[in-house]
Amino acid sequence: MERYLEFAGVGKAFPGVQALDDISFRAQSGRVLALLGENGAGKSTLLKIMSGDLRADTGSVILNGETVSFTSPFDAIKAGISVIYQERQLIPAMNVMENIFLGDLPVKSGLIDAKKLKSDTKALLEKFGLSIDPEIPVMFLSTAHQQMVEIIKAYRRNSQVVAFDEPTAPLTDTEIEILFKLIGQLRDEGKIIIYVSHRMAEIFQVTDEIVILKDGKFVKTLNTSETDEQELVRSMVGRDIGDTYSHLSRNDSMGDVLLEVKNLASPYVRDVSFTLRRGEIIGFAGLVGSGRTEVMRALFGADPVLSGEIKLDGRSVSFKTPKDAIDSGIALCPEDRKEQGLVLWRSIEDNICMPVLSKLRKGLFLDTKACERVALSSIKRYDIKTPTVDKIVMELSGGNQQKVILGRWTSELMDTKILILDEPTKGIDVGTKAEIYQTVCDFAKLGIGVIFISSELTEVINVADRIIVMHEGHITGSVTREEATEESILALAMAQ
Amino acid sequence: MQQTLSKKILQSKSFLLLAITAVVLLITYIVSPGAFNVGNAKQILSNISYVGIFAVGVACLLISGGIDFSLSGQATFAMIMFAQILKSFPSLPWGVAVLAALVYGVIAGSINAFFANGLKLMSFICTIGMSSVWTGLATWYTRGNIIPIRNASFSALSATYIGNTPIPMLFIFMALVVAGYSFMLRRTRFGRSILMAGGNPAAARLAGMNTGKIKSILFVNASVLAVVGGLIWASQQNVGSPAGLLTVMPEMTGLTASILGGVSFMGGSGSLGGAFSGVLLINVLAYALQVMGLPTWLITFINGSLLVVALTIDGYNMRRRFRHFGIKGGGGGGGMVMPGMSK
Repeated sequence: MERYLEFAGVGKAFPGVQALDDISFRAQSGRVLALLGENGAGKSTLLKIMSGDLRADTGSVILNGETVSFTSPFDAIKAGISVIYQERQLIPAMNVMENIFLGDLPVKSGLIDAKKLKSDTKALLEKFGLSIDPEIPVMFLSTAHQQMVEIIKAYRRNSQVVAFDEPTAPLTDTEIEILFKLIGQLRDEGKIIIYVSHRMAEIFQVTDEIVILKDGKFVKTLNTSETDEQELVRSMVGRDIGDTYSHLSRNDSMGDVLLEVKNLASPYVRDVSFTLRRGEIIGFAGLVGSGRTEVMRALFGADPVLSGEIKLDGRSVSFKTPKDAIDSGIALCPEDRKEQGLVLWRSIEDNICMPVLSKLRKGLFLDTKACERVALSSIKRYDIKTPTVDKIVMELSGGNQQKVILGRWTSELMDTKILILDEPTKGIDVGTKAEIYQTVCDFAKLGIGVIFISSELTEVINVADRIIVMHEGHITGSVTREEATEESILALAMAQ
Repeated sequence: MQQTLSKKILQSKSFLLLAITAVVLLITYIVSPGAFNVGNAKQILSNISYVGIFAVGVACLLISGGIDFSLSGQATFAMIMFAQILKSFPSLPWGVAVLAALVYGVIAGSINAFFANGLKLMSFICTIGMSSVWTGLATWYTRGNIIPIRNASFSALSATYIGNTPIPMLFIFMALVVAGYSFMLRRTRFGRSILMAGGNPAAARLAGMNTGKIKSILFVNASVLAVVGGLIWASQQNVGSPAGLLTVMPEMTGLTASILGGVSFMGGSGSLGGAFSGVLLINVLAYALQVMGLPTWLITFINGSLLVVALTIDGYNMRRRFRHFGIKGGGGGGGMVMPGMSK
């Protein structure tokens, strides 16, 4: 009997977004299947349904002819499905062998059989040609080795399905080679492998077939050997990429220098220098973990600055806390909206008024009418879809949540000179993305200096006037929009 | 508008708790009508007078994402200190001794705040330690004995009632404190900041709020209110006792009441009205069980069960919200952050 994993009509909705809509395809054993799609296409949601993190609203997941339904990740693991996420799911203080055999430690007369544990681990490591000390706590291992341990853990559990979520993001080239060898070994043993990645080159190197998703819908399945990059991009985007961007009404008059950063160093970045003009949009590109976010955190007073100089309007400044930065007119829309941007259980009004509460006082008390007015004007300006200002932001879609944060920093009471947007379109549907691009250009027209961080190369290349590329905590290059191509940025990002 | 307001009231936790309280009273009346006398009413309202004050401090701290298990210990220490000052200097006005006790409260609260914000320790565990420190000191100083308070005007505080009613003057004082803090929480900038900082400290900091300062102020606030509560108790009992408050543990009642009243254990939401309704219910229930002749252990058992039930409901609501919105971290409690457990 042939083994396979099938999705049959899988659908999942979140408030305001249909994350997955009638997804059907089949992954065969002994093949590597790529899941490809833009951010927000539904890849992660699909992985989460596979791993038991989320439950599908409609449709079913079928493993070897049997419909499976998981209520927890534990169920999925028992059924033989392992998902290797970017965030490690290891216990840091436990050693390699304990992690690999977690939940199923070999026991001899009631005690852990340390000998067997060690020899079994060694056998597994040797099988995959890895030289990792089985007795070292995993927290002392490199990211790459931690990932390998996780893969071996999945293998040891006899997983029939192994899914990888952007596995190469934190890895170096040699480490990627080792990973691909591992994946090849798993494939040859007849595992069903699902591989999620944005990197085209990898997909051609390691996968056998490609499933393309777009806006939560299944587009098509392609054989890797019979397609090329252009066809993939066309299917993913489903439109001419140039279009969204060519319709942008841009700012064409830049002012004088607003921000000057010289040799900035924090515990996470070093020797960062750049300037930002009034009305300019600079993009920050780089792989995840390259230090883009960390530069902004240092600039914003959220991380300590070890050395270097920050000049705002020609004056030297130093921010000890985010409040200092905000008082000087810098605003940050953080990368993770839900974790760092919003107080999810509070209302839209509460979230918009956060930084301006001191200006909304009437004597000792809060001027609740003024609070509502400020919130309403942001709702109107950004067309936030909500019946009232009292709706809790958790109930909004990702796009509307992002608009709430934009509204916070650009309300009538804020005097924002510099707006830092860290992955502002992450997990947002295509339509709202276009709105956000235009909003960013509108900020520039108002003379605001915008810093636009994005992992989507097409986006950062097309929205920003100039793109600064980072790699491992420092800047590797700066390119103007006219001369930037995905290839040139990627080369800088990988420091090739 | 009118309709939504009345609907809001009907759906609120406070209303639910008050309704349950009424039911408890009704049952008590049916089972033992004799229990409805002025003496009992005085007793219940007196208890609520000091427990309510504790609950305000506990609830505000919980909403900001903090927790303090050393409040009874602090109140005990303050009470001993207060009684000793009055004993050593009988001619001193008691107000001066109150002031000294309040200063102690500020110091004790600052110590907890320093552990939580300066040293980044888990207040959940740390304050349990501090509780033993303060009660240990109090027991050492008194050798376990009570210190009688012989000060007529201080004792009169708790023996004064409003006209011919069984309502103690201190009950009104407590009600004013609850109302004042409730207003502060809903209608001032600081109150709004507490809710936001408790709801998501990282986001609040990045939006320019000084979350550490907010939490510190609320640690000190909880301690000062605990000292006030302890002194009310001392005035009712006319003693400074190293063990008296520890048997009733008013901060635990405050905690249970807050969570019953809809203050989230994870911070960021809740109201003082809810917390106060919780205090009311717990005290009435305890008294009802007592007059029905149930043994003390059963009352303790029921109080403990209430806390667990309240936590279960809170946890269930959280998980449901998390699940519903597909946010990672809610399921299985793996991502839950406990107050005073996060850094």
